[in-house]
Amino acid sequence: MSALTARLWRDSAPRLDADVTIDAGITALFGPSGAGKTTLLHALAGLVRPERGRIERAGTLLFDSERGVNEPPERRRIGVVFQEPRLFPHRSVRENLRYGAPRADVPRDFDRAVSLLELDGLLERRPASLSGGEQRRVAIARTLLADPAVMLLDEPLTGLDGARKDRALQLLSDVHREFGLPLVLVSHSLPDILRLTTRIVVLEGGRTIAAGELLDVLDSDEVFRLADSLGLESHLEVEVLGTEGGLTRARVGGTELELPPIDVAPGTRALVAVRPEDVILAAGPVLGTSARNCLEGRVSRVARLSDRLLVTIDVGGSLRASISAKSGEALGIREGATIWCLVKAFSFRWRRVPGESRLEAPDRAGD
Amino acid sequence: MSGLEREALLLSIRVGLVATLVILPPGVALGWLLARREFRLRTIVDALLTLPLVLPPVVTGWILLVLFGTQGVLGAPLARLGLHVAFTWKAAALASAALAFPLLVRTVQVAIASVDARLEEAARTLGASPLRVFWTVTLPLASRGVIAGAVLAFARSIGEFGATISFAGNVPGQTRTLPLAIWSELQVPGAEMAAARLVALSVALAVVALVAAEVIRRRGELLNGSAR
Repeated sequence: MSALTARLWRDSAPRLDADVTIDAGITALFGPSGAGKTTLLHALAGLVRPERGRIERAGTLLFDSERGVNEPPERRRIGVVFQEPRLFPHRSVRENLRYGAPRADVPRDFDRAVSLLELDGLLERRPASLSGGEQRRVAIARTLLADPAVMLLDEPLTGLDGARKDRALQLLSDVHREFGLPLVLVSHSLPDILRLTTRIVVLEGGRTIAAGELLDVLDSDEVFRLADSLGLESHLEVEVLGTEGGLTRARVGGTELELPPIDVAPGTRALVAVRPEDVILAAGPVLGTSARNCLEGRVSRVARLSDRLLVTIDVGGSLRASISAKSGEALGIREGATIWCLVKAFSFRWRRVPGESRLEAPDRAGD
Repeated sequence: MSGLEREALLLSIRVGLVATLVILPPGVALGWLLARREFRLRTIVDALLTLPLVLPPVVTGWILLVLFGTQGVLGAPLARLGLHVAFTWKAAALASAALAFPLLVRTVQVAIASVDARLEEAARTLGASPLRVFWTVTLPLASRGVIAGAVLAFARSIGEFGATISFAGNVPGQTRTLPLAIWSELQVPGAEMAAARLVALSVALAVVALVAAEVIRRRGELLNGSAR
């Protein structure tokens, strides 16, 4: 059974036209800023009222405009971790954590949340005396202990970098595992999302334009249209063959790729990503360059973006290349044409690797 | 302190306290309503709240007299129940309450409007009912302003003159509060010294009220933790 399903409309600002299904796992709500991600979150929680629609949580009706049902936020059991921590300034950390009882009243749960979010030494402190990161962790624990059936997190990774982001991602995946709680994560950064989940809902202008598994979502026409403005990378699902000479070999469709080295067992299926501007197109197979990959493929789509072309090539997965309109003309790019894609091994980045000790392989410096 | 002076002082305190305590619950409720909710009668409520601030207090006293006098719209039924308001200390308290009410409401309204509504939203999603949110989040965070409003109301009450003299009269021991006592002494040639002693009492009462408010505020912050 779905943890949460919603079909919502709002014609006045902030606009909504959303169709969301959330399962027991982690779902990412993705879209450019101003796409209505926060509005959708608030509508699910009961803080923004949709004009029409229906929200159901595991068989319980929370909102139904036709039947006049509109459960108030306090009865929805939908926990929200807002973009700002929103801690109560007049209460200690402990009192903040206990505010939402009932789960906070179960000592075992309280202790588990406190130790998971590393709040042991902070319980008697006031929120104002905590660092930004500590405040965020208190906010997550506070929501957790209110015993929600679903937890929504609004941009939990904003403003974090490097090691702190790694730690936050680890924490979120621990929270999900330890408390068995469905999570909905709002983010505008696909690489961040992919470290936690491949289940994605894409929003634009308050409208859900695609939902499902990452590769299907990225292939949809609506998302394709957005790809350039979102700076979306192409993602290929590969099967690791082995590592030699400082590069990892992997298979996608019928071809082999050479990729940055990664320490996983052969046979592992993983996701790699490459930016459209890092793919060079050629009219025929090219030898004698430093690029380690030359993939034959068929042009499946061409989109014109002012002075450039965004070309999708099927190479056993969808690869996107961004080229100038002039190059497109010179190469005779059209749908159905056969074309070769040159990509340097280190232009690829590992995005989601099951069984790897770290959540992400080292990125290119400066990325 | 002479007997008359003590009488005027105690009466002023009683009138001030009763007036403040009576208007505190409805004043806080109305302040919250104006700060947090949109409603249709808002313009009328706003106008009614401003009226006592711009009208001469004597006019407000006269309106109260029309309403609560023995032949008044409200006074007549009350009189039949044996409750006489006009020209008693209750009238003095009512006159003070009417004039202090807008000050209290406006101060509370500003205090509640300055509480971050996002904290209230967060409390709702944590399972708190609107009433619980009010008691546990809104009121504690607005407490500084609510106390300030109550002090203002008390100060306005013990300074009330115009409405009191027209609605409650100037009955020694009944409705002659400190301002009325001072005015009465000023009518008597050569009683400047007596008036000065009453003025000193008034100043002392105001200072005590301010100090008491500060103590309450600090104690509240110890309980709640600093809101800043």
